[in-house]
Amino acid sequence: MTGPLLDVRHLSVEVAGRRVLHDVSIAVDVGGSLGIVGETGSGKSMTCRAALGLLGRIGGAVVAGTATFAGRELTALSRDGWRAIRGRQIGFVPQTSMSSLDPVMRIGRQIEETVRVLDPGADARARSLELLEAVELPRADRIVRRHPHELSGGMRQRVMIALALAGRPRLLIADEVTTALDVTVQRTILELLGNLRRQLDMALVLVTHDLAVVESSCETMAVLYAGATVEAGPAGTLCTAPSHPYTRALIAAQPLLTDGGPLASIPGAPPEAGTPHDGCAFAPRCSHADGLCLGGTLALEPVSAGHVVACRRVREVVR
Amino acid sequence: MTAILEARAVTKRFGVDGPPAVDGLDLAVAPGAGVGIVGESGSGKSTLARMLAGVLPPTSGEIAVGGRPWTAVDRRDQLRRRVQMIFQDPYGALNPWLSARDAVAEVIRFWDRPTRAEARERASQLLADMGLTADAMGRRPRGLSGGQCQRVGIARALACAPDVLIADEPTSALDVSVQAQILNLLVALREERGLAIVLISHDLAVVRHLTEDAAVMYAGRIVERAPTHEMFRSPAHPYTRLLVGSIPGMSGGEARTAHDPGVADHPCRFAPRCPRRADDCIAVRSHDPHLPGGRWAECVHPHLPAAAPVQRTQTQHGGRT
Amino acid sequence: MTVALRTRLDRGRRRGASLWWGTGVLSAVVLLCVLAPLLSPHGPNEIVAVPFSAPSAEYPFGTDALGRDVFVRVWVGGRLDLVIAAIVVGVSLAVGTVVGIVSGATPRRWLDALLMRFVDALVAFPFVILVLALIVVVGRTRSFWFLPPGAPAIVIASLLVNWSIYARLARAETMSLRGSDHVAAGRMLGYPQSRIVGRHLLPGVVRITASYAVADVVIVVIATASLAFLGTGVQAPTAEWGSIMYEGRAVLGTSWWITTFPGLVLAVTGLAVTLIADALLKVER
Ligand SMILES: Nc1ncnc2c1ncn2[C@@H]1O[C@H](COP(=O)(O)OP(=O)(O)OP(=O)(O)O)[C@@H](O)[C@H]1O
Ligand SMILES: Nc1ncnc2c1ncn2[C@@H]1O[C@H](COP(=O)(O)OP(=O)(O)OP(=O)(O)O)[C@@H](O)[C@H]1O
Ligand code: SF4
Ligand code: SF4
Ligand SMILES: [Mg+2]
Ligand SMILES: [Mg+2]
Repeated sequence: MTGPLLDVRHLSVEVAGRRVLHDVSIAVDVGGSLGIVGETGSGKSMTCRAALGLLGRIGGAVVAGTATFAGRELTALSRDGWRAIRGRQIGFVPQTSMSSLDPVMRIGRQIEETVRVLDPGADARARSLELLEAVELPRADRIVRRHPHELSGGMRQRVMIALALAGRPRLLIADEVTTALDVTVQRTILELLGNLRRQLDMALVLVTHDLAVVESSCETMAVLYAGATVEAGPAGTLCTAPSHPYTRALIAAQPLLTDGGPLASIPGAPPEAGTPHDGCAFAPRCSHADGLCLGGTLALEPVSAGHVVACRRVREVVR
Repeated sequence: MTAILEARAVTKRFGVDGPPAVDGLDLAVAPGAGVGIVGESGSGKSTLARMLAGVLPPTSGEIAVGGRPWTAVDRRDQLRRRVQMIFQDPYGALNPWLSARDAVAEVIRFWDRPTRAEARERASQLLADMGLTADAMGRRPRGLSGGQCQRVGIARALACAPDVLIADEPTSALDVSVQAQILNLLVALREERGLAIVLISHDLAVVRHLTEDAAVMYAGRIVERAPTHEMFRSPAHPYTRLLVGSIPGMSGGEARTAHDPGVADHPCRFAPRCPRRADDCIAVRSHDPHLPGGRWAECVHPHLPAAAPVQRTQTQHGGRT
Repeated sequence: MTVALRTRLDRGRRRGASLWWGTGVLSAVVLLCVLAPLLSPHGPNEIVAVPFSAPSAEYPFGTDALGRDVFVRVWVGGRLDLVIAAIVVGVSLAVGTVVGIVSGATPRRWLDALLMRFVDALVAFPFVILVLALIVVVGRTRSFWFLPPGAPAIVIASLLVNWSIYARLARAETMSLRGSDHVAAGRMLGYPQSRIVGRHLLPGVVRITASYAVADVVIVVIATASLAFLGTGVQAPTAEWGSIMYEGRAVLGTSWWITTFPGLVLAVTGLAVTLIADALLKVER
């Protein structure tokens, strides 16, 4: 197969009449790994929902753009088409994972039920224990008998990762999976996902605000701002030599263990998704903004191989 | 100075079998103090936080707030509002049927009895301070992003004008920029109003930024206490060392062994994973935890503070501008 | 996301259509019950034509053994059926939800145990025997307020049994919500128990019981009609779907319309209500 496994281009999404995404482009290769970063409310989770056909449940719809998975157009998929993809081809760990488990069903039953549907050949019991152990949950045999509220936040998150892996997907989309995990477990989970990528050629989309995680576990990276991709390229390049003023500010705001003093934050607030703007959405907060940045729409322009940026003054900025 | 919030030998046991989630733990929070709690996932941090906030009764031991045990504090007592908590799950902690603004206004109306309009006004102001737009304030949790929900939870806690804030992963769903805004706000509250903070976080950078003292939890017990910066510079307990070494971008962590904090019959719960384990470790509970230099670790063979500090590889973010 | 949740979400997309259809058809039935008898020149017990006349333009549902207009009787009877259902379901919903929440939210274990023991006993009680017993007590011919003879017994019996199902549902949902963080947050914020129950538990619990209530309307309508059909319910000459069908059952082979039309209307009503209930129950928690 040629081309990326998941290829989202110029995606626009409306929810309740508001344009929450207006130009998102992301791509991940077979067995590749992509980190999506961006300010809260920038549309990271919404992009994941769109890639999984879960917009309908919140009253949203794709209004422009395309999304293909293994060459198949996703935006035109029927319900049955989605059923064949969700879980089996694309696994998903939602950001609400701490509260998405059914509160009245034991963990074991929830996993077994999923295994039975997604992986009918397997021995549901054995496979669910195997999955729980894979995500570093100690004493899986006891965890299966518990209800979700009897687990810690990090444990619930790991149960959700196990559920997403049940169908042996070709792509795993993980929305803030490691947020509730301490660094030792986080490291193990990231290693586990890395191993799965190698063994099963599973591709990974990792949504996170932790740039260190992206740098250490992802090959490529996309930066979202106010519902649009503003920069994408190799993770190493973006972390060490970012081009877009927003990415640069984001990396400068990263708290470091060696630092003291007040933390740098990006002045101002992002526009609420859905508010129409002219020209560059970052302009009101950008120290490089000038008249050139206003008016029209911005497009992603290549600055080097595989590295694209949506900024009109990028040459001046990086200089 | 007497502690404003104090846990004395608290134990919490869920069900009858298995080890307790929190096991005979002591913790004192002085007015205006900043205490960080870090530790393994499932080590009992949230359970401790709930007990400190008075929403979960301990199985044994006692939590005292302003010198009085929680059991003696009436619901409408002003003491009640002085201890507030930010919950770990940003979605689950909000009433799904109330908009962000109503959730915050409800607290204000309940405690201060202003007019409805005034309460809404104050709620909007608080939420705006957290960086929420007017449009987002009118939405219910399901219509908000993770970071927006988390900020609603923080605003609701601050609406009570607390003296102690127990923050369970308060910035875990926030990107670095908003996280910086919130952390700077909390620092300012500490300086201006003398707010004491009990901060639970797996993000050691956040703990370092906001607290002077830190405690490390493992399997329901505090295994090390130290001033925050010293803890990260020279961790004494083998588990702390593992933790600090696992931070992305840090090296020097020992290889991980089987991860099973539950099974240990050993008095030292970390023994099954511990590279320094020896036969005399059985005596860990009776061993004096005080170390030279004012350090404290529940370990028979700690890394002494003079030991080589954990190395940090400085490959990160070379291109910071 | 569990599979159960996922399939619930997949079905969610059809929810709009079934809600729309259900409400449309049900409103049509209710409207006909209200309007048709008013627009018709004669009453339900009036003899208007030769007995057993087949459906015609003037008498769309034909006439029965006494020569009464089945069309008018069906819609007048519908009023009674729907009113009984509304009373039974409304009262059960209110009582059951309150008892269930109290039972689920009380810190006093004995109160919960007591209430639930009572509910279990009621659920186990044979419904038809209860109605028969009540008819003996209340009397077959006793009417009450606007309820015609036979109806009071049905209403009382249904009420006695029915609320217990709501109580169980409400208790289960209360128990599951009680452990959630937003309820813990309510306690932390100092809210009194009454506010936590009213503002933080009730909306979630009512969602569940109210969705069930819609489905329950069908059950109650069918139960009322079948009791009449068995001859133990609403008594002649009062029109009611079940009683009309009961009267027509002997001549089903020749005068099929007497039984068929009320049966059809009953089925359509049931279907409409089921569609609504289906749509509401699919709503994500
Ligand atoms: N159901 C909804 N209805 C209307 N607007 C919504 C809904 N869900 C999210 N939004 C809005 O869409 C925008 C994008 O939300 P999204 O959840 O994708 O953000 P995010 O990038 O994932 O942020 P975070 O890091 O905080 O999770 C936000 O402004 C949010 O308020
Ligand atoms: N209501 C409960 N019933 C039974 N067990 C519980 C309950 N709440 C917590 N536990 C157990 O207590 C232990 C500690 O949980 P806790 O939530 O305090 O962990 P934590 O340190 O906050 O972890 P995390 O970092 O993952 O949030 C876990 O093993 C968990 O399964
Ligand atoms: S286009 Fe202009 S305003 Fe936008 S990021 Fe580039 S320099 Fe800043
Ligand atoms: S007491 Fe012994 S086993 Fe326990 S942490 Fe210390 S050295 Fe390791
Ligand atoms: Mg999100
Ligand atoms: Mg926790």
